Amino acid sequence: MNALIPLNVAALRVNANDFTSIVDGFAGRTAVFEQIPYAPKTKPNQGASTGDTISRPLESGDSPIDPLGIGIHLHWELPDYYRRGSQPANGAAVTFPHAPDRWLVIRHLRTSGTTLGPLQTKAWIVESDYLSPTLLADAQSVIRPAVSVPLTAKGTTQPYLYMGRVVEYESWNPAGETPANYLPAYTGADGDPLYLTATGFVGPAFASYYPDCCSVFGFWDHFKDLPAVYQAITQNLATQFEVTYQVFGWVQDATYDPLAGIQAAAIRQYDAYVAQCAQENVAVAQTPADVFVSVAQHHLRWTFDAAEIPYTLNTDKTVDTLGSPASALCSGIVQDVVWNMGTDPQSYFLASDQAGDPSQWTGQVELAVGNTTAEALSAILKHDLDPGGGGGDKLADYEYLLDALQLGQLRDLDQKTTKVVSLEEALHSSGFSKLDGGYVWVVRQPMVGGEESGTDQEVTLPLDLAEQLSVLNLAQKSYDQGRAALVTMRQQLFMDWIRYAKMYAGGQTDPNVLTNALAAFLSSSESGELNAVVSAGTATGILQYGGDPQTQEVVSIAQPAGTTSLAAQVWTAYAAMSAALAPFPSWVLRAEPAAPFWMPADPVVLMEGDRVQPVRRNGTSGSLAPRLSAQVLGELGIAYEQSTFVLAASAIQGIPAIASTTPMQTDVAALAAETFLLAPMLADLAATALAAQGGDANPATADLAGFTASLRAAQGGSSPLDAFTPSAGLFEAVRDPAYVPAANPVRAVTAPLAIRFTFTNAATDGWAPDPIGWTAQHGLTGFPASRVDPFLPVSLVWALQLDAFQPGGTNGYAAGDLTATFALDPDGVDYVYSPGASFVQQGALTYDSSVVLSRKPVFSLTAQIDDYERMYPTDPEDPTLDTISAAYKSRNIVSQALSGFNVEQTLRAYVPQIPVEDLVMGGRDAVTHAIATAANADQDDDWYDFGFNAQAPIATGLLAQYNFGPLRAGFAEIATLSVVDAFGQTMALQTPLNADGTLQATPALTLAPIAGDTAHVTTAYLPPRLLVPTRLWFNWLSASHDLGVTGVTSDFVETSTHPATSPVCGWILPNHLENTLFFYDADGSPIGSFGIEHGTLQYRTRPGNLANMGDMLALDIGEPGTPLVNPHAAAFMWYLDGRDAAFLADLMTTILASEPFISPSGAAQSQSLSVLIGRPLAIGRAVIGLETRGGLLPLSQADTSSADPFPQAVAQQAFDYSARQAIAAANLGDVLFPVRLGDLANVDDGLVGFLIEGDGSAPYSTLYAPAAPPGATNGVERPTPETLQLTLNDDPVVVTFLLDPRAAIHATTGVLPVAGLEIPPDQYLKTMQRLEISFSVLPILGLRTGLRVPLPLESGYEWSWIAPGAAPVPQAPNAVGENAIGGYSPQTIHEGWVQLSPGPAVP
Amino acid sequence: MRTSLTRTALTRRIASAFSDPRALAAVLPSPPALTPQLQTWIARLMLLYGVPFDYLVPDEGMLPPESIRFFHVDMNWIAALADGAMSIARNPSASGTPTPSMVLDALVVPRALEQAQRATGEIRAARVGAGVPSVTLQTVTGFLLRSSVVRKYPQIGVNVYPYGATPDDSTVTLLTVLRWETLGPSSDTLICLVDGEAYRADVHEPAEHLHYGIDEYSDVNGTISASKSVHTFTRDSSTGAVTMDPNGTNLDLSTSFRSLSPRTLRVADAATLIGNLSGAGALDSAELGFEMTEGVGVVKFVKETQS
Repeated sequence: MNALIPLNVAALRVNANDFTSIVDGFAGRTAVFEQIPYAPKTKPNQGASTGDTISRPLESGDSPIDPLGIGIHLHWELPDYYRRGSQPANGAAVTFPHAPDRWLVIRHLRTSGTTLGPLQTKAWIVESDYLSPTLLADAQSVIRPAVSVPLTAKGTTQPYLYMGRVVEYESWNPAGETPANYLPAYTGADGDPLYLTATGFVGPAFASYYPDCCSVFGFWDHFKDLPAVYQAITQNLATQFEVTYQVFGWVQDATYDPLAGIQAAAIRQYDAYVAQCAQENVAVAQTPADVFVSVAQHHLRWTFDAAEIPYTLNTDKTVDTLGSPASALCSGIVQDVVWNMGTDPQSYFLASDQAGDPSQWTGQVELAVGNTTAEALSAILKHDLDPGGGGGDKLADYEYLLDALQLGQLRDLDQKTTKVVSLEEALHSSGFSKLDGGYVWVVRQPMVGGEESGTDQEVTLPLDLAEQLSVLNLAQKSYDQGRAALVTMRQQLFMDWIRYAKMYAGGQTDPNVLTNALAAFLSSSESGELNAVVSAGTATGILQYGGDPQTQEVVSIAQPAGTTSLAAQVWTAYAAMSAALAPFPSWVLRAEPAAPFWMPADPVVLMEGDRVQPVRRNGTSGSLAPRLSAQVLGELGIAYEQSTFVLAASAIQGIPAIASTTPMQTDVAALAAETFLLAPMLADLAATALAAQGGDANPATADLAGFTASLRAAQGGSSPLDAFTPSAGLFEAVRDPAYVPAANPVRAVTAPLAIRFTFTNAATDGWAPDPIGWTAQHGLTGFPASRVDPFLPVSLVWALQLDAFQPGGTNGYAAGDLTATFALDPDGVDYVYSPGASFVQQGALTYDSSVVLSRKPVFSLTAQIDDYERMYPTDPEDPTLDTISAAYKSRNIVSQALSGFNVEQTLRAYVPQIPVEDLVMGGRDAVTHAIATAANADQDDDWYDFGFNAQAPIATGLLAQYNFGPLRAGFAEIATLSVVDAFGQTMALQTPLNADGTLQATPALTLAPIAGDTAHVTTAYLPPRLLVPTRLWFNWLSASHDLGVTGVTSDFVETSTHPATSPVCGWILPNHLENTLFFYDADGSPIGSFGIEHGTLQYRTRPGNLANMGDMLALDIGEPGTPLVNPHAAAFMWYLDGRDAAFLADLMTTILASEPFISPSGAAQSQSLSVLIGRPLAIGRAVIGLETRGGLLPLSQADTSSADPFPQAVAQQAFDYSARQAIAAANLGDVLFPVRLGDLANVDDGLVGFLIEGDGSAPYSTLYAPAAPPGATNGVERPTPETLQLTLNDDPVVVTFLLDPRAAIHATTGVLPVAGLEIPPDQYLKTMQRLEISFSVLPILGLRTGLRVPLPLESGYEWSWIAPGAAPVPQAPNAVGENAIGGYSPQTIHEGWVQLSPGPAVP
Repeated sequence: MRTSLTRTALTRRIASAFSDPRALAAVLPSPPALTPQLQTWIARLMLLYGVPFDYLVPDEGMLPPESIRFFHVDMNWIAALADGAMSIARNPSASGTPTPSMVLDALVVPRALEQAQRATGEIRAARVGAGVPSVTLQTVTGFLLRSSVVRKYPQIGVNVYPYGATPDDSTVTLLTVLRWETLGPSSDTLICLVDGEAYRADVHEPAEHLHYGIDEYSDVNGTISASKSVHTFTRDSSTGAVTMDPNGTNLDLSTSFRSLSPRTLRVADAATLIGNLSGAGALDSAELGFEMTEGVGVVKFVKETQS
């Protein structure tokens, strides 16, 4: 049994007129490897083989190299599975599955018009990965266009080959193939064997864009095998015929079939599950079929029906046999494509309705710009409601609510204050993309019997283990940063090499840099950039991670070579940690993704218009339900009058024979036969077959034409150009959104004959094909009715104008650039500017590029509304949402991020990845040779595996002239937009124009210029963003450390989200009645309190502490520098001791004022008595810093004058990256980034106050608190933007927090998503519950027999009475004394404290 | 930009919500109610359960043996007591600014107290198994009785009447007894709390102490002298109805006691004597019951001046 994967096939007709006048204006091939300069063809100084000649980006507007020939062009869209890549654990380049490399194309052709001619069937095989040094002629001697690939033909110096060929099916002999002629015989730049993927040698657009993959995932039918047709179509003769194409695809080497291994994985998983059930003594609930279904769903996103998968079990319930599908067969048809060339020789199939340029369509659109699709969608909806823009606040709120709806935050937005804050943060964060931040090791306690690793609990470790773990994680971090730095350095080296190759081999002259100087800069025997990069590589090393096959988690590392590299240091620490964990067999060490780095997303443009069709060739759901072999339709049940007939497809004449050499022959044959039950152009053949059956009341015998017409009506899917009446048949039924797939679909037709057709098979388990794989010619919404050929947008060519931020420094940025112009919005989490501020260059630059349209299903507001209503069926807003949903259901909306915009700001551009080689100068080019050798020197750490050759510098031109902008900000407008379709057809998108000629676009809420800025009304405001992967290094410091573990000399940074030890250094319990702050040590034991007595600050030891009758602070906590309690708690107490009463009064007021702003939503579950009694504050310490990935800054590549960074770097021999950063990073490292700590608007934020730590024994000065009294001058102040400012990659600042431990602390930078830091409950709850609390009591009556205090029973606590200067006296709870007894007088009056301290729990 | 739902607005909203109880009431339309356990606990506290005795009677001399002390309960003190009980979760401030928990209290506590007040009627009702009376708790009065009676008659009861509605008046109103119990298992001290201004308290033996009895009995050296006031009656022979003389007639019962056991009444003799007095002959059991049954002992305390 096999899985039949629906394959979407599109057919484009090109007639002679189109060929002459139209297709020349299409976009063409983007990869032209055949044009690469090489010796001996290319002489020195004629160009270098660095890659700029091999790429013709879409935005270049060049005419196509191979315009579409006359005939029909087929392109099939690879199923989604083949297009999803995965990244290995060590961060190397993404790998893709083997794509199908053999395609069988069957064509059924009949002349048409009033009657159909005889059926002519022909089949070909497309060998996608066949390589040839020259273009090949096919059996009809037609030279077919083929795509070129950058591989050197064996035995020659030609650095390119052509890939893909077409063989007639009847002559195809897979057994006779010469393996050397196919792609797997070649190796890539990294030395690994190559194979065909969805990205080819081009990139993500490869498989979707016919000009780039025409000979691989496409087929040109030139009809030369049918001379009459050929003559008609090439000579513009009047002719009409129709064709149906059926395409099958498979991976020829079955080892790489997607389903290979899935069955084995399912059996393995099922048997493990059975064993586990036996071990836990629970019943086996799942079947092997269920497990297979879930494995296939997980790995392939293909949904199978478990009921269709047979299996047998052994007596021990393990799998005996599992009849799951063994291979995947892609299959699709495009039926009834009509070629209707009338008698008018001027008629076209593809001409646009634009008289001036018939090659290009135009589309009227509405545009919106946002950071994300959701934002842009909200903006465009708002715009629709209020095109004039005068709608004011109400509409702004509407947009805001739409954002909330789309981010799933709408519910209770007006009720829960945290929702507004989290929405704001979610909106802001969605404007960034995550980049891998390396690994962090954690110790977990696996859940017993748990399958999901996510449910494992991270554990709090003993101090020595926590320290060991910290050593490991710091080593891992150094290594991860080292690797990231290495990639950056290698990329820079590659970019520098490109410059060199162009000069040395290509003959370009650079007025600012001499070739020899550059050669020396790149590589010399002792120094040079290459040596620096190689040394950095040696110093870093590389780790090979071991993964868990089930969870894909990293569970181990292999020992790397050497002992000194960063990788080796990780291994040493890993080995030490593993050894230290040996006594704890239930704990496991795992690597998790570390905190990610963030990059701002490229702006997203949203286009809405009649002609903008979302790309949904593979459906919208993301998962697929393939049919199985047994489910192919093979029979037609016919109920006519009182008779029933069964027509087997095999009885129909004309079904092509499938050779036994064809893999999955039976399935291919069955599908080929199925077409004869589905395609209207073949219906008369089915009718004839039925008539041949004879029998009483046989409708085909009675009325052959009537039966044929009835069958066509039941089939559906006729071409609008056809004489057949278009109908609502099975073809249309399966496209109905309400259609629920079911076996044996039935279509009842009333005219011309009343017949009930059942599409089924011999096993009565026939399923209609998926609409993805069953297409037909049809009209296009928004296009003229005559247009029936597809227009399938795949790429967007964009041009954006940016009036960019003007740096304030002499050679780049100044430290105060950010704060001078922008301010963090007090109402938000991003930067705003003041209306009068002029911070841009006052001259817009145009950036352009092209981008493959996102293949994700376009964001659907209506789906979101449906989801919302499903979740909240009784929400009173549902009817309103229904109205919105209905209004937008039919709209065509496409959104796309303008990729490449950000990267161009840092003066680089994506290029096709080509190896480092000099094909022109060859061996004479020692520099290239040295770099190429170094790149391949280490098989484990091959530079090509890490994409070091993906970017090229933008060194000259307008963009490079003082426009290096790693701190992106400014005002942007859309200059032009056009869409390129799968066949190269183009469509310019048009809107009403702004005064400066740019397209009108509505900016989203987050990108709207501020109110009152009339100069930029038509633009989108881009708030400041760092164009280098950056993260906020915001982590707890351990509360204590010891020196037992090598490598630990001070409190260590907790790198995982769950700190390994508690970060709480001490506790403070405020008493506002007495105006005192009571201090506790980290473990909750009481120390003493500070209060105001007679206007002065007074320390009092804890009640009952007889050892310190004089209330000496030093006695309780030790002298400064020699603490007896947690050193940081002591430091803070000494700090407080040094303040005055006014400070304490302000602090008390601040703590009190903070109270309403802190109300953690999770507090109910962390209820403890101390929280009930007071609100204990924890003293915690954290580091906060801004770090870039690899710790490096982007370099300017500019080379427009001798003072530019590139010539300067060469002149100063700054080949070391860090040295070069000083010259070429535009002083980005000097820019101060303010950080806002805490968030009053967020009741889930627990910050009360913070102190920035200095050095020495008295590290504290001012205490900053957002809720401090305004204008306070006594040392407790509100933070300002200048309070905490960070620079990139500087040493992190240590901050001491006073916080409510039940809530997180938020750090807002604007340039990064808001970061939160919290203490896990298990690390504070116990201590919080242990806090001893003394209530001062004055006065209380004491009996003659002794004091008796009425105290309630508190389970887990004990009471005692403390009189001044006396030891605590235990008090029994519930000893109320309400009974009348005698002998108690006379009574005395007492003062003192009752103390509640933890004790044994009372059941 | 949007105008509502901004952070500034939010921060202001949070701050103002806790600025005073009215603002808080606006955002917290239905503040949480006390749980039944808490409600009972505070209601008991309002009835002085759990208040040390030495707080109520600071010196023993203020309640000597065989004394009764009447009092008014200061409801402000009770409010303070309940407030104190609820203050454990409060973080008060000495400064003028109320803390959020104080604002919350100001909103929640009055309602909670009201709830607890209503529940005070349930405490005794639950003890004696009676229906729950409605209480106002405007004025609470009561007395402490320290007497050997308390120990010897553990089941004594009380009826408390307000001024102008005693059994001596035309209409009788019984005040709701909120608390009536001895303070301790074998204590001689008893506390009574009633809902309202007490004017007269009738302390009586337990109602179940109904018995046959005579009025006078003496034994002087074996000479028994005993008498009882009985009511003469006539009997309607047709209907059997009995009409009693409301005024008693003293009847000498000295002869009806056994000579050897002079405290034992010969009931048949006594019955004959009673029957003879009315000329009715033998008495039936009902008539004997009428004549012989004695009520419980009552001690009446009356406030001398009604303020």
